[in-house]
Amino acid sequence: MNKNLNKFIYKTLIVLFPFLLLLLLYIILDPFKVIHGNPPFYKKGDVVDINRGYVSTATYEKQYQKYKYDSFILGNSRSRFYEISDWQKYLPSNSSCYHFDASSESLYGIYKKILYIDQKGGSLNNVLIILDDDALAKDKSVEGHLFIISPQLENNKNIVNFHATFFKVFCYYKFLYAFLDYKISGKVKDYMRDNGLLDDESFDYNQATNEIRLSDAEEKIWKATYYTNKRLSGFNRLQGDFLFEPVIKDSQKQMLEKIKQIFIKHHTSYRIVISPQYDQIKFNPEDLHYLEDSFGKDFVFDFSGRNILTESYQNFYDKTHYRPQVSKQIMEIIYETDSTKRANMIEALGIK
Amino acid sequence: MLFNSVDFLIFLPTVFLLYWFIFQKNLKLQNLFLLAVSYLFYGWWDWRFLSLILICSGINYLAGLALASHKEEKTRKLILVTSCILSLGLLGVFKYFNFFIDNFINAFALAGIYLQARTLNIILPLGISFYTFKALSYTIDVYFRKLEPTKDIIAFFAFVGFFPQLLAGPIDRATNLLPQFYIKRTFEYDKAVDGMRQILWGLFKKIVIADNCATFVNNIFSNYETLPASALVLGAVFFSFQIYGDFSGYSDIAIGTSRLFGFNSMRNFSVPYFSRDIAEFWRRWHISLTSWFRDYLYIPLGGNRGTKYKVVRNTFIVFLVCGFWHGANWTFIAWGLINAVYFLPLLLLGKNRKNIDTVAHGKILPGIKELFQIVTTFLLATLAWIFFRADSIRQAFAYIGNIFSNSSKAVVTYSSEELIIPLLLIMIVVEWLQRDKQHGLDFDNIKIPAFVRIFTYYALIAIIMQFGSSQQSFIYFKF
Repeated sequence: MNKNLNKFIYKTLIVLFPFLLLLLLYIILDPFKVIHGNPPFYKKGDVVDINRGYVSTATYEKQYQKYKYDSFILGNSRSRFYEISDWQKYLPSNSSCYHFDASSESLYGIYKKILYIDQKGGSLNNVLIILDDDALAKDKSVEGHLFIISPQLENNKNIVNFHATFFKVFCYYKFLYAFLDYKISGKVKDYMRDNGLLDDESFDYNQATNEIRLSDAEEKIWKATYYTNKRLSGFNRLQGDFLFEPVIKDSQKQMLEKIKQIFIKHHTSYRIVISPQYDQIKFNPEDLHYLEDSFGKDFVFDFSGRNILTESYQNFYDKTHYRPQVSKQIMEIIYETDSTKRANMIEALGIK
Repeated sequence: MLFNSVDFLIFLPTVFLLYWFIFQKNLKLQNLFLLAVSYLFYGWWDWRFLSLILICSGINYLAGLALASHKEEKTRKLILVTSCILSLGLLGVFKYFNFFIDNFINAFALAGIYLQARTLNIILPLGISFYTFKALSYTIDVYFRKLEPTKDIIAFFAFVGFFPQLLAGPIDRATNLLPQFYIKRTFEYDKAVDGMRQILWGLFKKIVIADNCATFVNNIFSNYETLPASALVLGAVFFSFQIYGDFSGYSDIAIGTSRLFGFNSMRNFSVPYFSRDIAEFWRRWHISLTSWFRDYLYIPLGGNRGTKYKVVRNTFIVFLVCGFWHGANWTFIAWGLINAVYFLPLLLLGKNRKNIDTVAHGKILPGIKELFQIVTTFLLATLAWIFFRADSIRQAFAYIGNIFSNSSKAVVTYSSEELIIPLLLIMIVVEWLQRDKQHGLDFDNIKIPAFVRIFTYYALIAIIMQFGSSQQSFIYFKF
């Protein structure tokens, strides 16, 4: 019997050999830096998009004892442009700030990160949560290699699926071809950029705070070369007043309640911002009231819908990402202690 | 644990190696190991629901022992009825409780009486309909003395919980599967190789065909009010292939996996979309369930014996129960009813067993008449599937209505990036060529050069890796 069994295993391995070879290549090259990647994850000349949530988590894990972070900005990519230097003006001078964001972040991801910091024994003195309809609607881990939640946040329960997701992308023939072509030629070619396979756009990165700044884009905006016709064609919206459907269901309520409990435990000073978006679709009032009831009206701010912030495309890098100048304005409002003054500032933006 | 998950990719070879290298020495160990890994496989999803499998297995095991120790028919019947009530009671509570409460309230509301009743927040345990029917087949067969009751509790629990069949069948009969747990399995090379091929073909159908069709189907069914008729027709056709790829793919993986462990499982699909009439379709679709209903419901009701009224009644009962088995929703009942309406004329005219051989046997292509019959049967099945897929009866009728009322709108086109049609063609051609075989990659008695076989494997694995959608669960799990 063993002879037959050995023959069977041997033949199965032969059939699987090319795929095992591919696996070996993937482990050695580790293009997504999830196997032997270490902070800093962003280096000059990097061309492969990596999972921002993983970067944030792994960097926090490596550095939290050194920097003793106690202040966090959480949210999806829209939260990246809340600059720490601006935020620190509203916090105690000894605050240690960290951008704990993820691409296409979900409420689930935010909840898991807060839980993770708490379980690690970290402090949560100040928290700024940047939400929108999309993030709030997602009550589970998001699929896709750029978005899948880090295993550290799931007690490693999803570790197999996490790595399989990246390996699957590596095996995708278009990616593999482009990646190997780049490795051999050392050049990022148009087809790689156009198909979103590789990306050589540069940005500034601060490893201590995990902050990304699009300095090149800002420079181009100042030189009036950023808003090309191609870019402008992406700025479109429907005419009229629109409202998002309510998205807060039981699962969201449970997570929000747990977040609130952790904030109470840590005596956290928090603010929740509903992002302004170019599409001017208004966040659902039902959801807003729920957030206000749970977290307090003075700590929840809705900048969605038609207002001065969402009017001009020049406030945005693209249809969904607003610039630091907008974030700066928002922080001025949400940290204003005089409620009358704050109400006037909000009114001045045309927010109803 | 899903068959198309990475977890299973690790689970299967690990269990396979332990089974054949460590636990093959004695039968008890083999069965105990299979029971343990089967419960691990199920508990991976939610360990709390293991208690239901234990209860269901326990009820039927004890019923078997009780039937063995009682000779009196009245007592035996009481044991059978009790076992059925308890087993089906579990199924009823977890699957149908809310459906009955809701409809009870609605029925009273029609009469102007408004009742206040609470439905329960119940999660449907995966595979409950499958293992309940599997366990029941044992008790019924023991009652009818077709099977000796077993005292081997490990063998029986391993039979009910056997992991390849646990979540979505095939609903293998105790008469076929249980005796295989009494004999020590030895590794058979040919059986294992064939099992691997069947798993590969099943993965292709599930990951490439079903999951890619699902993307279109979900989009089309969500936006059926605004889409043109051509898109709605395409949506319905794609759903026919989605549900076939999903369920027959699962069955292929389940049967192939069983073969890796030395078991012969019953066939569940036999190229149903090449059927020439609905009766043939039902002999080829979800065979383990349809034959279960035939043996344990249709025939005990009288089958096609007796008056025409009784035959009609029996047919309707079986199809309605079959529909209801699929879920607590009127859409499934409507689907069953439609199929009964399709089936009945053939039965009444005595033509229900007209097409029992393989279509175009010995020929490469079907004749024009056969082709017409195949297409007609497929379209009839597709029409019924709309009810199966829709969220409500109203939506199903609206969907069908829009096929006709939206016909003036533009024809929908899909980008050439979407390779679903060529991939579908690959499946159809392979299944047509292999229609008298057990599965698409059944190479028994076919002389194929080794390099062609290896190339086929590589090609399929590459297609699965390239065109496989994100991991989707199986439609039939919810049944």
